[in-house]
Amino acid sequence: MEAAPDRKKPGLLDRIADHLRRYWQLWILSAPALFFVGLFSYVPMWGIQLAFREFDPTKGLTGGKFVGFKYFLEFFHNPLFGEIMTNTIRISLWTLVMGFIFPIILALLINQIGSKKIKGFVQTITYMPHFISVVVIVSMLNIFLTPGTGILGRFFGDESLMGSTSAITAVYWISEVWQHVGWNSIIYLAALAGVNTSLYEAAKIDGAGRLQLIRYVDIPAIMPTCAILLIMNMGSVLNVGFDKIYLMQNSLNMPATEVIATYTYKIGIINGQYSYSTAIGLFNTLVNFIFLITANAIAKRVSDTSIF
Amino acid sequence: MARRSVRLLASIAAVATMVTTFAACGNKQATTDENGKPIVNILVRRNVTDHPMQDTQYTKDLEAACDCTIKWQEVSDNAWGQQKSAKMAAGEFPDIGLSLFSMVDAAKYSTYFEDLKPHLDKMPNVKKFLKAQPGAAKYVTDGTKIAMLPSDRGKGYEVSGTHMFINKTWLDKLGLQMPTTWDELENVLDAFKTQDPNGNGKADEVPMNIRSLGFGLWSPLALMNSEGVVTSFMGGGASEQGYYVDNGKVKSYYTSDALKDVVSYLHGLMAKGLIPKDVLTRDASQYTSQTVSDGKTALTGVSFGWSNYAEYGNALGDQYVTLPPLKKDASTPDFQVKWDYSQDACRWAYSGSGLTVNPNAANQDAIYKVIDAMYGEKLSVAGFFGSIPDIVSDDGDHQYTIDKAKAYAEYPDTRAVALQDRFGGWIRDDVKMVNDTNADQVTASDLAIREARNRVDGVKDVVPIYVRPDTEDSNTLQNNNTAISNYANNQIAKWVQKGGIDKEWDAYVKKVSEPTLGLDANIKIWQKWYDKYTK
Repeated sequence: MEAAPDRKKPGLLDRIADHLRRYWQLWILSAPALFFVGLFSYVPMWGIQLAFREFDPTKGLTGGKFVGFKYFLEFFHNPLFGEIMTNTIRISLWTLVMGFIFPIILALLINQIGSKKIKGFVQTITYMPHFISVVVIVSMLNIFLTPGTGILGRFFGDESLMGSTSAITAVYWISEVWQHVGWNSIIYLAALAGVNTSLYEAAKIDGAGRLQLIRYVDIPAIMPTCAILLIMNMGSVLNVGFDKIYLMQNSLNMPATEVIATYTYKIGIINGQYSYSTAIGLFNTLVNFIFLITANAIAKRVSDTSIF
Repeated sequence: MARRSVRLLASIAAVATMVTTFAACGNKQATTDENGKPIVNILVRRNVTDHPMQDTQYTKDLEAACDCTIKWQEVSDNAWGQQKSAKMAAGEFPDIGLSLFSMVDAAKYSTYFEDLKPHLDKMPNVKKFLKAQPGAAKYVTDGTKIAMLPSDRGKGYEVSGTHMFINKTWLDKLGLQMPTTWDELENVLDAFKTQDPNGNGKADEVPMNIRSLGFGLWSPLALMNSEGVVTSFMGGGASEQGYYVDNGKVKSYYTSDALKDVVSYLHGLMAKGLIPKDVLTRDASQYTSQTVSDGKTALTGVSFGWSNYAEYGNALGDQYVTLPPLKKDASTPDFQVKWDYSQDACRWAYSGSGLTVNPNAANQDAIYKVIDAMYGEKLSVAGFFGSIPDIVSDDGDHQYTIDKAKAYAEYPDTRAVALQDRFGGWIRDDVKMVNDTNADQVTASDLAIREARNRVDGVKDVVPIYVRPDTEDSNTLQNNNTAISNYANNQIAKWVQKGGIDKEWDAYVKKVSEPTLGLDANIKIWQKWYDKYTK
């Protein structure tokens, strides 16, 4: 807002009052959402100080002795630290990259289907697995990979891939991609549907083939969507979904499947060491935050799309 | 106008629901019922929660004894595992907790656990119990405090939690002797695999079956006892973390030759197909389908469990007998062969937990009346086996008879109709239970191993269950154990599955002993507390 030059610059309170007078409807509209975010995202942050205090059940969450970075150092010096970090990054990067590429490819392919009926059919079939619960998915993996009798296990010798430290990452991301590829491609399909048909016609007149249409019309059309989704995914780069990997763990694959989330669960919920697990969780969040900021900055510079 | 008021109403309703939800959190529970009698809340961990304790005659008898109203809350094992830490951190403790908390919890959250020692005079039955069973008293006395009461399941449950079973019908059919050494067992398993002992013409026999490879209940690692390395796989003590005692010195299974031998042996069996190759990765339900099977054709030759009927079901249980503890080889002297020493934990430390009281509870006097009633003879029996006279009849002269049809309608023990092993109470040594099939069966299963177990010195060979590190040391132990087991358990699993232990053992021992993993630190901690409690 620009004040008129001859008038005195209004004070802060006046400006707020003026703002509210003009936009109070918008504030009321967004109030429930603000309240929700505030209550469930910002208020709990008060508890972050637990990571710097020795948890004492008799004094409550914030009453313990201040110990500084003790629990962070404990985690960094933990012999499992290296293993947990590499596992977390390996599994999440594979899932992130593959889970990013495959929905785009699927969307581009589905977009090529002429018949509306077949298109709808393919779309439905591919997004169906999204609704299967994680527990069921992991049980299915176990059954499919049973050596000798499983529909996939029979091709991989007499030991289950679920017990192999080298194959478990692939099992994880392939099943993850299979489950979510259809669902995640919907947003790209929506972007593709919005492409102006005159662009296709113009390209065709210029002699573009099918692949060239994809390369020069479709891909640029969905590029901003891709960038936004990638940035948002980067924000959860260290968040390997807890439930799935926890269910997939067994004594044979443990060196490849112990990730930050499962370790925090074991330390915090099972062993009841809240300060330690809060410190690990906070560290995890910080890393995610840095990734998000970096990805956003890069995207801003490279493609001019960013979320903030 | 009308539309506006509708909108207004809707928003008021929404706000009102929100406010009441929040208000509900702050609601204080009533401490007396409508007749002015005190209310006592009891939370119990049960494995069957769809037959509530609230409706039983047992509860009415307790209420009559304390002149109060009892409110039961029940929680399943799984749910409790998830809730426990959070509830403790939130300070939510029931007036009386049954089988919920351990002595470690009581040390950590000491202000939430009433010291029961000063109240013993109000509970003459409990006082008598602790006097009659000094072992139980020692287990729960922490310095001068008693923060938890053990319960006594009676002499019928003074058994090892782990037994090794073999299919006697198969042995007889093939004309084989009961194996006495590891090699003989291997030959027997070989015969089970190739000679179709269940006679269905299919090679579907599972010669030996295992659940998992940890230091816990029903683990094949109990075979370490064959070399005199004693296990005590029950109750969450030192043994389940991987520590034992050799003549007063604390050592770890992780670096013992016994572990190496057992793992090599198990790998040999797996490589020959005598143990299924997918036992470490498969779904747990597949295990039961191979042991209990279809109730007609036995599929498993050898496995580890509680009693033969619990392990193979009522239909097939008859075929199995307990395998007396094996020697490692023919040259092993008899005195070296031992067996799992978990009978103390089985008798009075179910999962290391007991009865606890919340010092902040409103009606303290009523609480002690309830507890004293629970530890009386009749109500102890009723708590464990079922209400008198509905399910159990009192025959006089300390004899009680369980109505089989009512008590065992759903399960082979009394878990559906009573608190069963999660109860608080004292089954005295002079109580005679008729039809307590669970105890009869497990005692029968236990007989074959008693000779070997009697060779165990309860102090010099194992860390006794009453040895307890303090909170800080417990945390260190836990952290280190997580690191150690993540590395070592995987190695063990890998060796059993793929072999290679001979080549890799030395490197493994070196790595597992590195200071960063903390094995030595843990041994020192256990040694410190072991010395403190046993000397």
